[in-house]
Amino acid sequence: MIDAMLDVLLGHFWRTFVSLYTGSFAWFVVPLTAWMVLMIVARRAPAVAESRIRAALRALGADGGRLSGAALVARLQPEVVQVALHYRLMPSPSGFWVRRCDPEQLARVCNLNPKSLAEMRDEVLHVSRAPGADRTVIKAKAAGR
Amino acid sequence: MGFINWLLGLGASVVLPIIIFILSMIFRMPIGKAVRASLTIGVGFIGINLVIGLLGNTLGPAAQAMVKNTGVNLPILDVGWPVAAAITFGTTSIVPWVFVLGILLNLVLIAVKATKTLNVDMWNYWHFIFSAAFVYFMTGNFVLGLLVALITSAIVLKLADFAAPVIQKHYGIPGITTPHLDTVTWSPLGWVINKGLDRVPGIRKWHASPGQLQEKYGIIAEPIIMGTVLGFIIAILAYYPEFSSDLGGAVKQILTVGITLGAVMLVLPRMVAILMEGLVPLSDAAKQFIQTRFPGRELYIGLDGAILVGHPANIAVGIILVPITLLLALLMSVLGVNQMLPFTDLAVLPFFAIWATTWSRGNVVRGVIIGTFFIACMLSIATFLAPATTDMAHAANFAIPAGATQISSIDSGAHLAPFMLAFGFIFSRAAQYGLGFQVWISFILAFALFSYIAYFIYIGRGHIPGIDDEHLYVEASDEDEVDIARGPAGEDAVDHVAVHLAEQADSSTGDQAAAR
Repeated sequence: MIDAMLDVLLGHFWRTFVSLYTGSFAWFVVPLTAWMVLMIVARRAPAVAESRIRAALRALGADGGRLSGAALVARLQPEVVQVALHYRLMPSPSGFWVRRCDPEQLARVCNLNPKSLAEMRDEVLHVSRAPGADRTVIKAKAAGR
Repeated sequence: MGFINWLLGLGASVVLPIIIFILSMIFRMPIGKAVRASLTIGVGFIGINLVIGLLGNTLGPAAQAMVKNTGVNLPILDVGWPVAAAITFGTTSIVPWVFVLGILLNLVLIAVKATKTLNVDMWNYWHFIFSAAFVYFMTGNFVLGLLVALITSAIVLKLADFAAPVIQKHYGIPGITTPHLDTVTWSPLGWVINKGLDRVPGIRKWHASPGQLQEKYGIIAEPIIMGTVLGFIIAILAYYPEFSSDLGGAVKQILTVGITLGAVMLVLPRMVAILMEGLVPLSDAAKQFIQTRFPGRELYIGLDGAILVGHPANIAVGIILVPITLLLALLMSVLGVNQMLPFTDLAVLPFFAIWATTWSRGNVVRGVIIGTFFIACMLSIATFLAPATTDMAHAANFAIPAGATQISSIDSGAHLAPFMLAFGFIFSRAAQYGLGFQVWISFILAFALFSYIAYFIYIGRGHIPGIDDEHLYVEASDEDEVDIARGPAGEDAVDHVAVHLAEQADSSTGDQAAAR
């Protein structure tokens, strides 16, 4: 039944695509599985890098709250460089394929920029800010301390 | 009417880029950028729907095979939302009224600053039309039906306003919200239940978003693997009876479902990323346009809930809800509070997972708990609306499938706001289902009302739902919490943030100066 609505939304071409996929799945299964495995392997680098960034932010503790986004980038870049040296592959910018892992690209995939890092720091240290709103709510204040 | 049908007949993939292009021109985007943004949004939209089609064509048959395995036959058949939408557009006396008045209402509400949401998602106007139609068919009062549809439309726009901050932050889509009736009207209930779960020992500290699970369990919790494993489980539950008769065929089906769901977990977020690539410049242009002409005002672009379905938590919860929905339907039929056999809409459960997971920032465990409650409510409301839906189908000359005495859909049961509005006028219809049903449906209404009131009071007190309390959900464990209220030198946390904001302001001023 979902088919009827997709016909309206997309036209009939999608049916050819889906029926080719389901009808000839045996032809797709090996390359599709290989692609998925490759992507899982490639996604390890950003996953580990992000995990290490979060751990480093936690380790910064209260001091982290006083650092600017640019200072955070400078502080955390070595973590990403270490991960990049350890892994061979990472996802390409489109996310559909893989490329050689290098620190600059990995930093880009992990959003290692002042704005994103400041946001991540706020998350990790529980400083909450509504997007676009000029207000700050701190957990400690919310708890009435 | 003819124009509306022609316009809708062109398909979203054609009309949406045109609407986006017109909006881009209104917002004074350079023409080249506007063409690129419109086409990118069109491509992203096609991609998302293609993958959802693939999901539906894989998960749907597996879910339906599970239904057959149960051997249960209930009198109301879930024909799915597309049929409900088709029937709705067949109620020709209502369609143009709701379309024209709905769009006018949206523009008026923006003009009088009652909403920030511009709903460009014309295809989902069918929900408002359906709302008007079922009230009309149940009460025979055309004006009441129209009124319910328009009030519902205003409520949905307001809910979309309130949901915008958490959508934009959690899903990373700036300037966007989802005035999507069958999903966003559940957001207050999801918020209240999530708050309740904050007080339940055990669950309170159980952080289980895909990111947190991945950090904790590594590669095993990778969304692709999660999707594949869940797909295998669903497929085994669906196709195990074929093991004795056609093992090869069953294995093929299991492989197809498992690997496809894994691939969907990988591809759908990428498709959303493509859509966002087009949406971000549009959102920036809208922001600039509004700020220049109406300082201090904001405008959100309202789109289909499909743009949020791609989050791994929503897909995972949607898949887990398939067997739960079947079990619920059986259990509730024994208790006399459900008569609908879930079928077609089992494939679109990830949509109903959106507001089960979003408040807890993608917590899968909470998503399953909240989603289970949502589905229980939807099954009963869908049962209640079945006679009206069947009447509408007859009026629209839609053929009722053989074996079913009545039709409805899980999605019809998701029309919570119009159901609440019309409840007083149609409650007497509940008597035919017995006392237990009346009590349960009254409880749903009471809980929904309570949730809406609590949600509006919270917002009325100046809070931003999903943002002010995000510290409860975004981190891995309470042990890791850092008390920044008092730094090592005893400085107040506000000072830290003030310092940080000042530094940011300094750096941005510096950047602007450098740019000049």
